Amino acid sequence: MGAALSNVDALREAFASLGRALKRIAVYRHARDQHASFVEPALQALRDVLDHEGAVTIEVHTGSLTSEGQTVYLEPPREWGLCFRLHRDGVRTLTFQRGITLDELLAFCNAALYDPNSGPGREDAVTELWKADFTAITYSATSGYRMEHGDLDADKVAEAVRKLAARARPVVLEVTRHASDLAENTVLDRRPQLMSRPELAGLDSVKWPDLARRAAHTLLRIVEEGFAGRDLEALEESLWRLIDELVARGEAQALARTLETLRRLSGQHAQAFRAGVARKLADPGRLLRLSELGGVNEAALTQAIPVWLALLPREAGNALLDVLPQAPAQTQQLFARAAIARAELDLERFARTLSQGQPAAVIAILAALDTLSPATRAELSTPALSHASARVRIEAVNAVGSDAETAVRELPAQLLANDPSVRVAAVQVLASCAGAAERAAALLISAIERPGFASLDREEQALHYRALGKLGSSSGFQFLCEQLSVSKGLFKKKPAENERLLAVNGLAEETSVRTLRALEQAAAPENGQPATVATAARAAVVRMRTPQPRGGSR
Amino acid sequence: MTNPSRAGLGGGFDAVGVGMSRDTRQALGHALVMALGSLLRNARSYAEDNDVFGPALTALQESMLQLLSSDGLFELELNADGVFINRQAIRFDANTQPLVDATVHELAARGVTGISALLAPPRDELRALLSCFTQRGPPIALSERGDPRRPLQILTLHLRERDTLAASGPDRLTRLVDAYAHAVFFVDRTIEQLRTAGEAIPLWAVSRVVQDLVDLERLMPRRFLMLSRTKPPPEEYPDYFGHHSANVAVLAIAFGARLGFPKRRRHDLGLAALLHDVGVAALPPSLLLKTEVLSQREKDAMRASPLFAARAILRDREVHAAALDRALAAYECHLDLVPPPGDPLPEVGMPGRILALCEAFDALTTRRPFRDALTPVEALRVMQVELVFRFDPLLLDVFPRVIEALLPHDGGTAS
Repeated sequence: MGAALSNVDALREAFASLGRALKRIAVYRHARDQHASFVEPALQALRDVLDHEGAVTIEVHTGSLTSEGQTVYLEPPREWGLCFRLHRDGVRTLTFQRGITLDELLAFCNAALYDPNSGPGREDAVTELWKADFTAITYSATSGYRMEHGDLDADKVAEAVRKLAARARPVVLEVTRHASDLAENTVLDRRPQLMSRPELAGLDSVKWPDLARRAAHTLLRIVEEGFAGRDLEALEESLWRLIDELVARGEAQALARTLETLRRLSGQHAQAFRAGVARKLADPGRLLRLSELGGVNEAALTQAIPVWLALLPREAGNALLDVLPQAPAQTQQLFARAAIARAELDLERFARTLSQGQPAAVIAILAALDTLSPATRAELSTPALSHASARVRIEAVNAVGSDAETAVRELPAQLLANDPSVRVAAVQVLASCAGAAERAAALLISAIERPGFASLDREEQALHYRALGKLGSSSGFQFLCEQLSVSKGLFKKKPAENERLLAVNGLAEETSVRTLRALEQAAAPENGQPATVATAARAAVVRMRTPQPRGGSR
Repeated sequence: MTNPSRAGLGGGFDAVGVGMSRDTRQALGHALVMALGSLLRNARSYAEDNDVFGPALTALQESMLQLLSSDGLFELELNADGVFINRQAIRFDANTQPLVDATVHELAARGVTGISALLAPPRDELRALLSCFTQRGPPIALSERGDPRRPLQILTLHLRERDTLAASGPDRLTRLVDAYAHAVFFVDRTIEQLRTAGEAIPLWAVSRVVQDLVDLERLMPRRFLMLSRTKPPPEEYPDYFGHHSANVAVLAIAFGARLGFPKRRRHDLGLAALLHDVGVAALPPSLLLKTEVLSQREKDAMRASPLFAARAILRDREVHAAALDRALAAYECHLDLVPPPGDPLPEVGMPGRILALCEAFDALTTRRPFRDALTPVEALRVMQVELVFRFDPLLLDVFPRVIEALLPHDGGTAS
């Protein structure tokens, strides 16, 4: 470097640009393909300086960089600044030389970048700079090896090291008395590499997921063999950090294998260890990340997520419910079933989720309830009947219909719903409530008799009548017969032809002797029914008398 | 289930350490430096008997007391490398760092680089300390007892005298031997600390040692390899593992270089080598010295030690590739590549395969309580014939070329 910087302003601009680049990298940390474009302006500015100066040495302070006593970069002392991590980890000077490349400057930025989430996920800045093996950036760090810790002071370390060095020195000197630096260099130059690059790559394919999986298995073996001792908690943490990394990197198969090994872990401490890790696995943030992985990765969906969910503790049900609305559709069903399978659900919260939750999530939960007894399923589904979404209400009507008692109690309002598809679902469900046929029939009759019924779609009207017939209840039969009768009493309104036809349809659904007789009577010419009604009744009788092929449908 | 024959292993690993934890010391150190900073800031404006100093003096006194009662000493060191309390580097966040810098600067301006005590200082003593910094008018010359007009009784000031590290760096050979000695020291100390649940030397510190070893290997490969001939004298046998691990690191770094590994990978190999045997801390020292045939229980215990080494690494909660490689290498380097019939084929990574060779070679060429040292040639023969099932055949083939500088030119048996 020259005796004095000829252009401090240019250097200031270069480092200001570098500071901006670092900030953008920090903000768009995961957009790795864009990082180079963030750094390019800084590289150009730095190259301009270096073309002139040759090399520039910078002193690193906590919130500033200086060169020859002049401040060339100043920033508020923040962890994510350019200087903080470098200074904290011991970097004291940096020298940038002509010939610096984009890759080098990018690697330098990555070493300087503070990552609050990485924690033990990376090495210290000095090691990272050293490993980057720069050609145009050099650095100096704090002096010495700093081995004085605990009850060891520097003098004790120095004394011990002096003794050890005294032992090593003659060994090296004796054997290499004739090996001058020149000889060393000759040796260095002549040393052929023992393996070709492809050979080496074949032997040493370092893949993080493979490392992580093997490390996890080794860790679990330590626990299984009973060697974890007082490090059980620390090993737990190492394992869930590994699991976090596997999820973050989308390594579903390695994740599935690790979780499976954890699930099968045996030994004295296995249960406590598994429970400790499982508590971490139940964290909503982790569950969400897992679900996102399941949304894009088939192996995660089919292999990793089922094992993960099986490991979760009983109290994880609420966390699973919380995650459901944001989880991708593919995973919602799995998460919902896992939540339902956990007994320790907060029922009030559960009801709130069903009545107000995101529609897809609620539908997933309703579907997941099919593992429970019909009465419980119907009972737990009830809150979803008040959901704003018609799709959800239809699913809820079906779920509530799994228990007749609950259905006749909870569905009357759905028969009057504004949405026709909800009404239809309710009618269909009530039609299958054989266990509470009379009360279901009463609900249907009341729906048929309401003022607006006549304005409904004809198909929907027919559905009501057929449902009534299908129930086979006494009151339903009586109602249908009355609808079909020629005389309704002195002051009663005579049923219109349409209603009679609907009643024929309803009676035909019951397929019993009493309906056969009623229909035969209606079909008889002397009965005085309109021709269309009589014809419909006759057709129904023929249909009822004709044996149906086994397995066939009408 | 826990194997009953292995029960009781790892006593050292599970011992309860004396002294406070690193986290507690960090918290106390942080509080102490903040209190000191507050005192120095106010000292510019107030006389030392002013009540404004009360809270900070209390905080200072309490922190000192706790450090003294746990560690048996109080030692604050401030220098360009940072702030150290009882030799532990105290870390500060970005918000407090400016205050720390100002405190260090303020003390440095008066030539003070540290404060220490072996007894708890009473309040008067702390006020006397304060008087060193509340001087108005021309500054007085401080001694290690502080202000000569109001000398300190218990506290000792450390004054600048050692900005003295030789400007000319040590020559390469000295650097090489020094790095090697630090590596040996690190391993011995780590094993000792694992046995007593004491504070371990942080890995970043030994990482610098390995970085230097890798750099020096490039500059002087022949002399570098010769380091691995350094052996402990027999009377120091329990400390065998320091030399052994450092030698394995030397051989592994040289091996990595010959194979064409990039330097970061050689570094990871070297660090893994230094840690590969720390699991012996879980074994009773008497077992390591035993010269008779081992019982089945003792053999089981020996076989368990690699898992303890892996435990010692994995408990650091580091999950980056280098850390995982270290843990796996420590465990896998002791596995047989060709297992007994019926056992599954073990998965052993490249670092484990390299360490297995280097580890066996160094062990065989070192005198042990139960046998003499073999010559390098004899050791190679044993590895190629009797222990062949332990090694990767491809690596075993090239290993003699890695260590050819250690072999006699006549192919004889000279040690």
